[in-house]
Amino acid sequence: MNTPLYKKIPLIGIAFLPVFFSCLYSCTARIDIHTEASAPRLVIYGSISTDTMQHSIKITRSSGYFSTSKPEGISHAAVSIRTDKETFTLQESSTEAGLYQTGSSVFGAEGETYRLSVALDFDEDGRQEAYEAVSYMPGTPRIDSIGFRPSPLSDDYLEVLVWGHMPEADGNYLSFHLYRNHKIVNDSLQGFLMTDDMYMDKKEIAGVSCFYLNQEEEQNILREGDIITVRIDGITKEYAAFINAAQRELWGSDPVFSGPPANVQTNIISKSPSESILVSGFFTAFSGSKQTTVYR
Amino acid sequence: MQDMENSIDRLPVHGLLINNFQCVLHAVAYLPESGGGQNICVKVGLFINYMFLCGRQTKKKNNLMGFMAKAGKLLLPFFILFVLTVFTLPAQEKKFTISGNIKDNSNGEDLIGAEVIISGTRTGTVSNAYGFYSLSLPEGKYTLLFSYIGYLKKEIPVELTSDTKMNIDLKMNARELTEVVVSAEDRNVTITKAEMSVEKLSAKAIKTVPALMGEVDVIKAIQLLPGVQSTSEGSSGFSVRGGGHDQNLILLDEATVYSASHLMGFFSVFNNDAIKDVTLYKGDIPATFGGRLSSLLDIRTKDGNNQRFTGTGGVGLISSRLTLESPLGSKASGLISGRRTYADVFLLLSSDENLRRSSLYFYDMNAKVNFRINDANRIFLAGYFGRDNFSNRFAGMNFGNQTVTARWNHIFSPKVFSNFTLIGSFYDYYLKSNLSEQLNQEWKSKMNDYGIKADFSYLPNPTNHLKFGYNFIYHRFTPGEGGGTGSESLLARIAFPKEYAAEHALYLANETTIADKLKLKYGLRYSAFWNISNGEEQEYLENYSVAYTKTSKRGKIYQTQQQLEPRAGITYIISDYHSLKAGYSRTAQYIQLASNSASGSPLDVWFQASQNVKPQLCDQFAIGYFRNLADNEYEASAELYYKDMKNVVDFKDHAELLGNKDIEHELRFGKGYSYGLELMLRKNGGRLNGWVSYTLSGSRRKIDDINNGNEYRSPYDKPHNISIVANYELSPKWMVSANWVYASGTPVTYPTGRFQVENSYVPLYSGRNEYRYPAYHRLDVSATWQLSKPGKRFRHELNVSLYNAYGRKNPWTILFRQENDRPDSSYAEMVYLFTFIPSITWNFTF
Repeated sequence: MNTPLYKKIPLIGIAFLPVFFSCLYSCTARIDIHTEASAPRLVIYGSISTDTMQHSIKITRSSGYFSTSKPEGISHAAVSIRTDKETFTLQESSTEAGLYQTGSSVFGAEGETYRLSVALDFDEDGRQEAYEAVSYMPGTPRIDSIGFRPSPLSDDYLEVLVWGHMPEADGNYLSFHLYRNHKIVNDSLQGFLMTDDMYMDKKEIAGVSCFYLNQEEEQNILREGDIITVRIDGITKEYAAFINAAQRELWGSDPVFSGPPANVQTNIISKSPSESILVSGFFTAFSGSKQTTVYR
Repeated sequence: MQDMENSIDRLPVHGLLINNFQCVLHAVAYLPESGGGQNICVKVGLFINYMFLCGRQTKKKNNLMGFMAKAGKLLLPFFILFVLTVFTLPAQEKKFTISGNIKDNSNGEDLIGAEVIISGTRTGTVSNAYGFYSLSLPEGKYTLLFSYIGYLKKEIPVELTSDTKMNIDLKMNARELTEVVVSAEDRNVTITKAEMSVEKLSAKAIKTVPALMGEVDVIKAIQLLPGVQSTSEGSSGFSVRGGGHDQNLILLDEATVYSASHLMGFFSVFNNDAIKDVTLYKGDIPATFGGRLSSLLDIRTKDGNNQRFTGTGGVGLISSRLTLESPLGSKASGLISGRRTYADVFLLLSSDENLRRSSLYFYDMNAKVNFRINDANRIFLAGYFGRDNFSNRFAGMNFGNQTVTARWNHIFSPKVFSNFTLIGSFYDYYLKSNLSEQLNQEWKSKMNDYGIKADFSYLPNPTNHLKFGYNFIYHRFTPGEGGGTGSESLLARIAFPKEYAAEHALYLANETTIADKLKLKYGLRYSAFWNISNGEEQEYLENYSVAYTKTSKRGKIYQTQQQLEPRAGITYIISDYHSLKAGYSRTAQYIQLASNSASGSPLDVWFQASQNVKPQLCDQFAIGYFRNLADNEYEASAELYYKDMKNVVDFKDHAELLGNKDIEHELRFGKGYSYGLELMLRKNGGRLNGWVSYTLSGSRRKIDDINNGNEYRSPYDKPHNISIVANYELSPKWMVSANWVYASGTPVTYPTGRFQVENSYVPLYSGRNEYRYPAYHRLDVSATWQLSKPGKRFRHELNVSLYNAYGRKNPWTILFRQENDRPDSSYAEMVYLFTFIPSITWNFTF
């Protein structure tokens, strides 16, 4: 569907991997693996952005790897996001257990630090446990325009190009999302595109190919009149590391290029150190910019 | 003496090393002289005194003086042992030395490890890596027996009244021309030789092992030996006794080979046609060598036929090869050997333009010339050049090794053999992408080693064989440089700072026969590692974070680390057919691979010990029982080992190693141990020959921050390992071979839970390596049909092989996926590489 834009120099190594793995991964077979389910963890995942909207924090319980049900939401938590100036209290959704949301007029500000606080009784021992996470709101990238061209790499692909500008400060991390007719195209962790400007010479984004859409696949074919939106978010280094690690774990490991699998680190900290509850997930702030055009 | 104490205080470290080196040179100067032993004792004793005096100067254990104090304590018993065994022999009658070279009479190749004994006794010696032997005996009449496996023995009566030069040509046993001889050593050498944990394979035996895609492979054959295992299916990486794949020192004609594999590890870089001798030291690494923790794989190439022009070659499914040997005048001979794959040639036939524009090949070339100036001087020049190249229109990569060695053998006297070597070893890789004008980029990394070795061998009498010398390696690493290409590129050009270091080693070792049945081997290696400043800021880490920085002047040695590495072994020969052996060795490793995968990739870079990275250390203890049966037709052995490893390096979870200039931030340190029992039964000759080996072993690590600081299985922990290798000569025209391997599954970390992020399930894992893959097993078979009649100069044969004959689907990796139609359900998917791989190869010699 789409391929990563560019991340940093190390990714160049990945460029040839499809050649290698396409040869190898043709030999696959399902296999029965029996693992003992680990003790359930508390999972807190959510964000606040510069968009004016309802911002969400989802609190769930982890399940066994081969479970077939959706994650169990945890109700009756006290959830808030605050800065030095204001506090947003999140209310649990009436339709989805474990989903906590701000009011719809809330928005974050660039350069601000946000502190998530969660209090709940996860282990149902009658005592509340407290958790906290902190994230700053990074600088916002700017998108001036978007365009399209047939890919010079392959006749089957259409490239989505972006013109714009990176935030002026150094050490930026960006994520990219594509919407077609207001529906997100890359809504999975695998499709989450990121890059940083560690090795970038220029702050200007001058017609860079962000997405490669395979026009042989029905769901990717662009038709005249389609409304195309590209969104670029400024994300924190820590969140980029979290997503990067989660993507790696999702992809899996091999004996040649991968290190051993490992749990993805979280920035959620227990404020009740005596508790033995393990926590996963992430809280982050991000600043977004988007641009829309009609495909012709 | 007070002056000495004062002067040593003022000596910088390198001054001390020079002092050590001078000591060695003084020793060499005295060796040929009669009665020189006392002088050597004085010199060595003086040096030990130096060390004690230095030690008394300070109580600090962590500085140079502290090291000297510790070293002095270790050196004292070594010195006493040395004096007792070498220089306190009873007054003896005048001795004369018989010396010379032992060669194959058909091609002039030096025979390594050929035995020379006084007939009817156990007194004797073996030829060294250059075929040189030396035996000092009292005046008298002797019958010397020269023997080498696969060759006719030669008995020569000698009346020794003066120093005598005697070069010996041994003739290959006519039957051996066709028969496979598994071992590369004489029949009871494994019983009598004062070494253990050493495996030797003949080039002929390696050739008979059924090979993946018909590519005969030294390393794949090595992986069938006890205590050695493949790091993953089809890989040329190997683990020895639970050690990491970067803990093996691989030497090709004395030059280090940093990446021994082609095609992502599926083939090794060694062309069997060019190889003369392969020795794997699994633990009893001689003091002559160092720098790696687990093993030494010493590969020597042929010198080149000095009798006539000959050729060897083959045409296989994926590659062809040709080796030519020839005399070069009356005093020299040479060899040139090449191999290249041709998958890319077939790609040109494709109708797909993308495929036609792709390249996929590797090649390697060995070249060697040796020139015998006179009986006392000989020069060898050798080189290896190999490269892999893969590319398509989107991306490309190439990588390769080059090694060059220049050696000068000089015989100072019949008792003193020396070898001086200049070494260059180079490895580099290059990557490029071709995605768009803005994003096209390239990246390259390389490492250059330049080395000098001076090795001396002194045989003062039939009961002692001293070796001593000095090694030096200068490392220059370029961890990475590159960036965007073209004027429209968004990407900057960057270059990580180059890294410089030097390794020194001084060693002294002796192999002595204490009594007819008791042999002792001991040695001491002093190694030192210097980090040399590149003029950039150096970071000093505490708790894995930068505590402070310092900047040293470019070229200045800003960090020195040093180790004493004792080696010892004892052999008790119960009879000509069985013996007991025990050994101890300490090894140190100062450079390691930045790879946290099980088998490594060509993109891994090496990094150095530094102010933040201590050298890895290993103490290995081993005992063994060796038994030959049926007049040495069968060799059986049982070895027990235990390895204790310190400063073991691992990487933090989700470490970024590729293109990371701050690799030290990703490191974690700890300790490890491994243990095992290795059983081996080998039949060396006859119509049916081969071996059966079984290894019972374990390997564990305990590293900061990994597995919550708890002990875990190393990736090489495979408790049961069985190899069966058999060759059977059906008729003079037909030979069939088979090997079967079984190994416990590789330790693995499985997901035991999951949580949801961005509509995807992220795994939560068990403890590190808590589970195992299914057991690995595989049968390979091959048949060789001799197409030529005996006695013909041009001989050729057809080899047909079948890899993984019963099509076992061994997991290369297991991946965990979400169902497309039921995203809340997950499943496990095994990726396997090979089922049946048939191949056919035509081989010829002339």
